Amino acid sequence: MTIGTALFHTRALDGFQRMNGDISDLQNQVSSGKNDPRPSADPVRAGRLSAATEQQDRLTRYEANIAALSGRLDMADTTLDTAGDIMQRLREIALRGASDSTGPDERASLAIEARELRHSLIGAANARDATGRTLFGGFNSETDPYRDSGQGVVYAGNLGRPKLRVSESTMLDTGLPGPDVFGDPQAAGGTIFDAVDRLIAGLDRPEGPAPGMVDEIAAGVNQIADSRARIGAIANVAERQGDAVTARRVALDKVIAGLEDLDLAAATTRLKQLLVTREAAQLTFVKITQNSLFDYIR
Amino acid sequence: MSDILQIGRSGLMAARAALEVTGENIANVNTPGYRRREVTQAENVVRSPAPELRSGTGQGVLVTGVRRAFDALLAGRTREATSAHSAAETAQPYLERLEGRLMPEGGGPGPALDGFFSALGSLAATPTDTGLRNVVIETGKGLATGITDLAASLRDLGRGIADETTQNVDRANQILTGLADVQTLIRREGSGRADAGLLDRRDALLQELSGITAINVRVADNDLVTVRLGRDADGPLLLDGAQAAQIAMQDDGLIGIRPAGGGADTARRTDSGALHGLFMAAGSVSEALNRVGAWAESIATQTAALHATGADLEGRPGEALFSYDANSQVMQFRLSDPSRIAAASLALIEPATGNVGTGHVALAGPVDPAQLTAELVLRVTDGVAPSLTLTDTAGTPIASGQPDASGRITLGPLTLTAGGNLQTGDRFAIGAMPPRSGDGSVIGALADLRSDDGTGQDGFGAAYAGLLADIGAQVAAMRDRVATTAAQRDSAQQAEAAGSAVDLDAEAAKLVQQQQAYQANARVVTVARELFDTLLATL
Repeated sequence: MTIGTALFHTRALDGFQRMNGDISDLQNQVSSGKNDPRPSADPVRAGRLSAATEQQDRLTRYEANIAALSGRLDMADTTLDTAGDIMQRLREIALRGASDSTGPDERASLAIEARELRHSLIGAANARDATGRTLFGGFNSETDPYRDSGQGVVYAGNLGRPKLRVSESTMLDTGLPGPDVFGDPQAAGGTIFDAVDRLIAGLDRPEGPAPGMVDEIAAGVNQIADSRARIGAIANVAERQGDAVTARRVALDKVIAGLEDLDLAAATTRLKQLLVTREAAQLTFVKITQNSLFDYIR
Repeated sequence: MSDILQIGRSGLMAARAALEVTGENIANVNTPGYRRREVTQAENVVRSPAPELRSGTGQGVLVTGVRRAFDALLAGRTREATSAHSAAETAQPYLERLEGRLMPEGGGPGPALDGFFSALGSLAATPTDTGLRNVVIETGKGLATGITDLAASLRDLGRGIADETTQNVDRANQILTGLADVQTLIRREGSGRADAGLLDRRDALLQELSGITAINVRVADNDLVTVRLGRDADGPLLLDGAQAAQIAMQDDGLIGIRPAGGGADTARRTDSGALHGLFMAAGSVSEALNRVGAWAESIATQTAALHATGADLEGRPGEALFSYDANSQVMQFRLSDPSRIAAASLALIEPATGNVGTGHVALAGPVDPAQLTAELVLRVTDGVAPSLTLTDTAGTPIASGQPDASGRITLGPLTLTAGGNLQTGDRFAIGAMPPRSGDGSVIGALADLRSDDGTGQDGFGAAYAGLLADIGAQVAAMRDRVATTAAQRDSAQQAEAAGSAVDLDAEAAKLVQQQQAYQANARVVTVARELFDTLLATL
């Protein structure tokens, strides 16, 4: 069917423009290495990609939270290790001080050491994490939770437990409040600090501390060890969550790469094919249009 | 003898007329709307009144007219296909721009949303950090600006569509006036004798009009057309004889028609043509604008509701983070003082150290901090079918009740959520949150709003992705539509062109043929002269 000279030219022009458009689209994709991100290019792929990147954002947040959490828990663990050593030494002092064989001079020097250790213990209780927040102050994160007042060591923090989200369904404590570690001021035996103060007072007496003092300090040693175990348990959960998040991220990255990354081999093949088609179309167009019947009318 | 001269002369004239028309065809090969013409000729039969004088032959050839290759049916089909294609082709670039603007690459608010919510997430880990609080404020401003800018761009896009609509309506009215003028001339020339150029002009105008709106065209025997709006034959009249109606686009998307001879305006929807394409594009843009507005509004109200349950660094309840004005479509981030971000819960809820269970209680609704100056105690009166009682420190009950399925319970001034392993006899002390609290529960809950929080409700991210996906689907459908209607238009054009377009090769062949005819007829004239000369010489 003849379509007329003008329409033939218009059609040819449309065809070239379309081919050039396709080539430049493909060229853009090849140069970015990514598939066309617009939902209109592939609605299903774009939908999956957006769900996947949203999950990726969530995992990034969980990762950051787990890192912050683990940092704090590690710091608490180290601090409690120190506090445990201090209590251990205080137990030895209590033992030595309660012994009949200990003379007043030795007891006096034991008292001096005990006072130093008490000072270090308060320091441990007021320890801070990498961002400068207190480890054992509850929600009181800026000022020291344990203050050495005239009447012993008082707790100025609260029982709040800062939590961080580590998965869609799990929030973990970022530590323990002071009373959970160093004892409840309202409880019968008071805090560990009260016990240490009683030990020092006992060492100052000529007859030395009461024999029950050793058990009291030993109870403190156990309490610190228990708290350390609890911190360790939370850290374990955090680590498991961290592993889970890492595993999910690996899987997710693979999914995103599959959705987002261009199949280079396919794209370059298609580009090659388009270029060949364009060249063929141009050549045939020139061939067809360069000859008209007019060339043969003499 | 003079007969031969006459016959030769008529042939010569006919060949020359044919050559002229072929020349005209070649000259107009690229003229839009031009339709191929050809000379129609007939044997010239002279009936002499006296039978003895009849020679049994005719008297040469007669040019009866110039035929214009035109098929009203095929032209109508081309117009219909043009309308359909024009609708899709006009709408597509606007939809593409809409989609592009919503994408991160086009300045869409997606990255700003991510930035804001990831800042909230970071602050949850260190709630008193002023630096991170400032990041929240800056990213919050960024999100508000991003949404306001998006709304402004969408309004601009809508204005662009309205402008193009006006231009199309103006052009349609010009065409209708032009058609009325052409019809006046056609009528003046009389039935069936209208100049081909005039008819070409008429059909070119109709073709152009069909790009703007769907029209129904009926050609009468006297070459005059009646044009109606829409595809059907019962649409409102746009052109009747030399009377042209005028159209206007109404706000509701209908086309208003003011009849030529006065009378009541009518309104009709056009389902094709550029005006329909623009109407579709305007609909998509305004729907997108509404959804962006609703989205912004939900961000503003949901964050405000949650933030109101929080305490800022000085223990004051959190104020709304965003404001969104639905009329001006402007979103603003309202906090500028980093200390006013309420990261902590308004209530400090401490489980008693002697608690047996590990259950937890949290504030779930706003509360006046003044209600919390005197400490309250929450007692678990039954851990199996959880029952809770709120008392003052002296033990006087204030309120009691059972949490609903989601763990929510309102007791006196407090709305709480209670869950986990609650044991009978467990107690929780409830008081005001101290200033500069290290609690980040409220800011953490705000950060959770970004994505599906497990309650089945889409987060803000998914809501926006949903909008983008819907627009993407519209763009993809429109792209397909452009391709199919283009194919339909091409085939209609092709069918019409086969009968009416100029093909240079065909014209070249005719040129040779007609030139030969001209030369042959010239020869006949020469022979006639020679015969005459021979006759004269014998005298």
